[in-house]
Amino acid sequence: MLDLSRVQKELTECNKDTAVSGVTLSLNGSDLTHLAGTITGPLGTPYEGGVFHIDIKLPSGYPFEPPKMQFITKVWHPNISSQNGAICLDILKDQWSPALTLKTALLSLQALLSAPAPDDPQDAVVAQQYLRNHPTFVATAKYWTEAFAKTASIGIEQKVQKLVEMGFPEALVRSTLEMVNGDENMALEQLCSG
Amino acid sequence: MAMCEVYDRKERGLRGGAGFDWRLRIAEHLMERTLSAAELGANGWAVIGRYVDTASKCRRLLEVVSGNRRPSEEKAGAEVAASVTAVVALPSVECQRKGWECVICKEEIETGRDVCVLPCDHGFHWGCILPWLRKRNTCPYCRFELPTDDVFFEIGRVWRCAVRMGMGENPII
Ligand SMILES: [Zn+2]
Ligand SMILES: [Zn+2]
Repeated sequence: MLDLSRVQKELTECNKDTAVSGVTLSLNGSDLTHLAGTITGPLGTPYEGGVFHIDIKLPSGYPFEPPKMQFITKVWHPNISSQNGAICLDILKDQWSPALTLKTALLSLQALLSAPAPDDPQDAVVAQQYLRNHPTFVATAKYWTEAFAKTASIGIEQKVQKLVEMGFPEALVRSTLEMVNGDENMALEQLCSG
Repeated sequence: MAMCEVYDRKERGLRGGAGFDWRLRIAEHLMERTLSAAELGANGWAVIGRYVDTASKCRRLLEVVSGNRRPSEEKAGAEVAASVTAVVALPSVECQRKGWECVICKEEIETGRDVCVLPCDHGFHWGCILPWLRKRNTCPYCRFELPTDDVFFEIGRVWRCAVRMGMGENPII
């Protein structure tokens, strides 16, 4: 049922102008139903400079059913779950059309990063912050971009410094980072939850 | 499945010649019946008033019958298939120009091939558009809505149309 020739075509088509579009599409192994996408954070947004990885699964009914997309890179955005990367976007749900492609869907995700829709949130906490405390939202989104969406790995001291800048006490930051073997994502989660 | 059968019959009718009149007559009759809601936009308030009246009555009735679910809101944006009769009535046009891409399979449509053309003038391979119309009643390209066989959805459509007119917007959905 899955239209494999269309998927092949989309792969070639999407990677023709990645430098201009800022989105890429690649195979995840040999399985044509499981793809990997990336989008660059739009300029002038808290996501600028980041590269966001998207997990793409094609249902057997594709292109008559929408592709299943999810952020792998952690991102702070009202319409994307900060927990699991689930996306709330109409074209990936009931507004999907077989005229759309994986590339147009990725471009829509990029547009979503530029223009959040906090009235139809996926992550209620983020949406609340976006509406009620916008400067904090921007700062957190920027921090998450720095921490999770920039490929260059950073040293432990920088991690400590960043987390301290976020307002956590230095001693707690150090002990937490130690506990999770220097994994920033997990450290931040621990610090936020506890 | 039903739609595939219908399509097969239609194809035979077109090719065989003898079946053509039969198909046309049925199609005209059904078009008249099923497309009446789609004419709303052109006729203004005199006509729409009656529809709104009927629609709000039906709506209230349906709300009572279905235990206060609000059909129009529930069905807006939901997956509703195009009406089988409306699909049968779709014209088949021979592709005569080069470089016409079917946006569903992303292949160029060969000249001489029969193409399904929707009322919005967008054309697709029959084999590509039928599975879609079996799921949804919209044009993949511009979201033009075909009639459905779903009473709740049709009432919701008239309702949304009336609301738009009431707000001074273009009522065509
Ligand atoms: Zn096609
Ligand atoms: Zn159209």
